[in-house]
Amino acid sequence: MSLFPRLPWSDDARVALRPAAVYDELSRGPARTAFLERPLLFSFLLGLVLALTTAGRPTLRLVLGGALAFGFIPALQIASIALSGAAFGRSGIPLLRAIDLHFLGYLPWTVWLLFVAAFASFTSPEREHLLWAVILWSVAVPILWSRVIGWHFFRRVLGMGVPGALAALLVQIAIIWGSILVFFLFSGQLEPRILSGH
Amino acid sequence: MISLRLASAALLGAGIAAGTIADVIPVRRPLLRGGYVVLEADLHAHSFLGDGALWPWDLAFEARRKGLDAIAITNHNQVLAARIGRGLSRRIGGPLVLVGEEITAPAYHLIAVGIEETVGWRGTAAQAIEEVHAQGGAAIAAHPTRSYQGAYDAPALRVLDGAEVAHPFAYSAGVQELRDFFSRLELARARPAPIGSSDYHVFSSLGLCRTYVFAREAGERALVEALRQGQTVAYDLGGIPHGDPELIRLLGTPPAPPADPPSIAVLARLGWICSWFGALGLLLFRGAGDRSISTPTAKTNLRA
Repeated sequence: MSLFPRLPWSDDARVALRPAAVYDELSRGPARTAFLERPLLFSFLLGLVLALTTAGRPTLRLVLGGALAFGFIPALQIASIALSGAAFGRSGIPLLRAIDLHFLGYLPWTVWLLFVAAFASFTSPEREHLLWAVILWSVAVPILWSRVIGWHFFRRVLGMGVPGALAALLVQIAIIWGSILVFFLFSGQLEPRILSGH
Repeated sequence: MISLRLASAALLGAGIAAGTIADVIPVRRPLLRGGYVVLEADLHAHSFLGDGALWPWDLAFEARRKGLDAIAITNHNQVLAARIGRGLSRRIGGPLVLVGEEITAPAYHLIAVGIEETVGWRGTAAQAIEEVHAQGGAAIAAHPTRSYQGAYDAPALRVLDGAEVAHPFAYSAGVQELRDFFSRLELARARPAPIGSSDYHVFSSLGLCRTYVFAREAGERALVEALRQGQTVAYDLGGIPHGDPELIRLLGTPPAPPADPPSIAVLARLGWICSWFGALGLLLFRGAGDRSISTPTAKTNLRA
């Protein structure tokens, strides 16, 4: 970003590179009114990546279908922000504003998803195992990077202390992964897999 | 000056428009060979409401794009998505969607197709197969590599209808383990059905491995009946055909999966490029009218 200082970088990009300073600035700044724009954009991008990797073209049918199917991910994120903000937050920032600022921190995930879409498009179905290897090795980057951003979000935007921010990160992980595990448990997929170790 | 964000949004919109126009799915007629209708089928695909990425109806659309006449939606230990997919596929004019399930037990994974209710996974493989048959379905050993073979004892092999000889696992694990299991099955019972399946979850591998089913007509019951009678041909990933030699002869060289006409292929590629760069630009650049605290105007406002 410092190589191209004159480009109008988005707040998403600025938060990704300097989360503490930029969250400090933004939480003191004027609120946007389009609070759900970023969660909806994130869902839309999930649908876009699904369409690009499935059909090799962004058909509206697949984009919207994917956005609807994977809309549960931003929904769970919103639930986790609401819960951890209410339990540990000290800044008194309105929930909708907190949601907007939280989704600013998704750039590592969205850029990684676009990278996966590009890699998948240059990988033949016969070499899908190679694609999975790349995914499994590279996913550590957005996981760790988004945790760092999340940490600064809880500290700077929601005004949490160190124990509160740690607890909020754990709540976030528990809500998202817990929901997915509950789904697999109740659909009868989890128990046999645990028993078999596959 | 047009902002980079606005230009990115326009690029994304143009890409999706191009991609949607390029969403052309060819009309397909099944092959006719020796009095049979040869149905190209992928009998192992997962959809959303399970651990697959596509909605059941999108799976049906994509199956048509891949030149498949039939698919089985086989989520782990549930048939809900498959039933939805079958109902909707009938409304959109196909392909045939068989209600199925990947019976996922600790010791085995078994594909059940042509069933209506979920089959319990706590019994032995032989018991699960009997339950599939009681519902009028066919039972196929899923990706029977070495680690999934143990549960198929002699009683199970005697009633098993078929086994996957072509499966994407073989690209990484090798084809021999699937061949060896199928040879065991051929010794245990007469005329088992060789099956090629993609075990589709996500990306573009639907129909990568497929089964040529020689059915009396293009219908769900006829397809299941053909599976039960072993009237299938599948090419393993080493290019070796499996199945009745007469059916292999009738099939001849398997037809290539359909490709887009050149104009549609160009439009699809253009849609891909525009939407990808548009999405990236939308994430990276701020709009001309967006207020950010770091802009001089916003800083001035704050001081005021």
